[in-house]
Amino acid sequence: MKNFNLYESFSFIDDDILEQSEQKSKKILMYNWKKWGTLVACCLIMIAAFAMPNLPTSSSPGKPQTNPDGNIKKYGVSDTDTPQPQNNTQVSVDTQAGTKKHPASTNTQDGSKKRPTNAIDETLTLSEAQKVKYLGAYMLSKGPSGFSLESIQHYQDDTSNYLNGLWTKGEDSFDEISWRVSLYDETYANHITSVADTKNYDLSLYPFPLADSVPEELFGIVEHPIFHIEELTLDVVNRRAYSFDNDNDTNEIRMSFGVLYDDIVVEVTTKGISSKWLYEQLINLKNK
Amino acid sequence: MTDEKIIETFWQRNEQAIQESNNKYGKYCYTIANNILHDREDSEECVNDTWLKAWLAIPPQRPMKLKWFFAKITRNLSLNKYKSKNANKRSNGEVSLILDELSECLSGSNEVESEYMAKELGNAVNIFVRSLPQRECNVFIRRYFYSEPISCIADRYGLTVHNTTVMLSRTRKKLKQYLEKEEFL
Repeated sequence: MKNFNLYESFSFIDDDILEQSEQKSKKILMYNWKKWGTLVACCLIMIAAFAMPNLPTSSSPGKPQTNPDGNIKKYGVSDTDTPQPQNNTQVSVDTQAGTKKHPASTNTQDGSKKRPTNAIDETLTLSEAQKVKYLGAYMLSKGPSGFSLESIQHYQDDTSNYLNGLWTKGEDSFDEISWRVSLYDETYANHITSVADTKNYDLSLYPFPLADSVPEELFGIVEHPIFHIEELTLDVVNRRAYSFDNDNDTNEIRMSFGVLYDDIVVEVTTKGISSKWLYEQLINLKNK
Repeated sequence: MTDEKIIETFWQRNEQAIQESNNKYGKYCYTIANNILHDREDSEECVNDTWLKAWLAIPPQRPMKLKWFFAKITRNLSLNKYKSKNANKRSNGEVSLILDELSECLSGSNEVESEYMAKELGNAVNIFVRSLPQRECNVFIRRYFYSEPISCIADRYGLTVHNTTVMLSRTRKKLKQYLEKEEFL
């Protein structure tokens, strides 16, 4: 049999299999909607800001606002709140680029708006990434044994600023760690949960596939919850761990969630590492 | 126009059916052809030939899903054109990479050719991909039916290129084991 015969034989694939392959990842679809919606919203805000120069402006670039007493505002929902259905706020950590909305303008001394600088899209070494303002201190410094750094991307434009690091375990392994550091913005608000609200994040409550078992109004937060670092425990991390019996991918445990440190969000997606190791890395960032 | 109406228009031998098919699926079929041929003229020719083949096939056929019906016709026409253009030389491009990848599934086997074998092999591949988990199946199909570049497949499903490459490699190994077990090799 020639390899071309094998290639030709794929023409006999059933229609339902072809149809199934047409569907993009749900996370990608939601992400694309959010990306373009965010860009349109930013454009409208910029237009309004230039058209009405006397409007109050943001007091600091890229950082969340403080209360009058100087404390960082506490974000998120209360222990008893249930997130509203937000099908368009899903954030994917599997993608290599993102457009997180964050305050893009700065004030000059005369009160007029200054336009942001050009976009940055660069590959950095670990030491370069660790020097990136605001974000670098929260980048993972070393993977677990057997993992090596594959790449770190830094992306910054008028609406986004993040570092995205990827560690892998070699050419023949699916095990990997994706570690993304961003400035907090309001797009994260609907993903923040108290650890007391286990229905928002405990995967043991929901048999796979999640699309069938998770109530629609909770899907966004269950798929990608964000915890306050003060509340994070090893038990919480364990509740995010799951595994698949899959010959074509790692059988080891997987985890995906985010952690909020004041105004920095660290989002992790992992395959093949222990929850204990991950918890220790996240807790070690607490005092940065 | 819905698929049902397009099919009905074919059955009425109304040439409007071709126009409507082209409006609805022309770009889609062109993408399939161009992924294989990487040549605008040849791809357009394959798309036009797809409508001719469909005109000759409907009636008596009444496809369940027009999109896949056209996709398979276009794919077969494109592969035939690719073979005729590259019979005596090795071409560059995605198909060349794909053929190299698929040769991993056949390494060490003797050549056996027959038309009977092609359909049997097709049935076997069908059964094989159905046994795969959904994501691996989708990635495999995008690569070897649609001939999509790995970077596009990675974008589509939110994967890294590395992950996609490893996934395809493992699935090809499984396919080889399956074909050996079914005595195609």
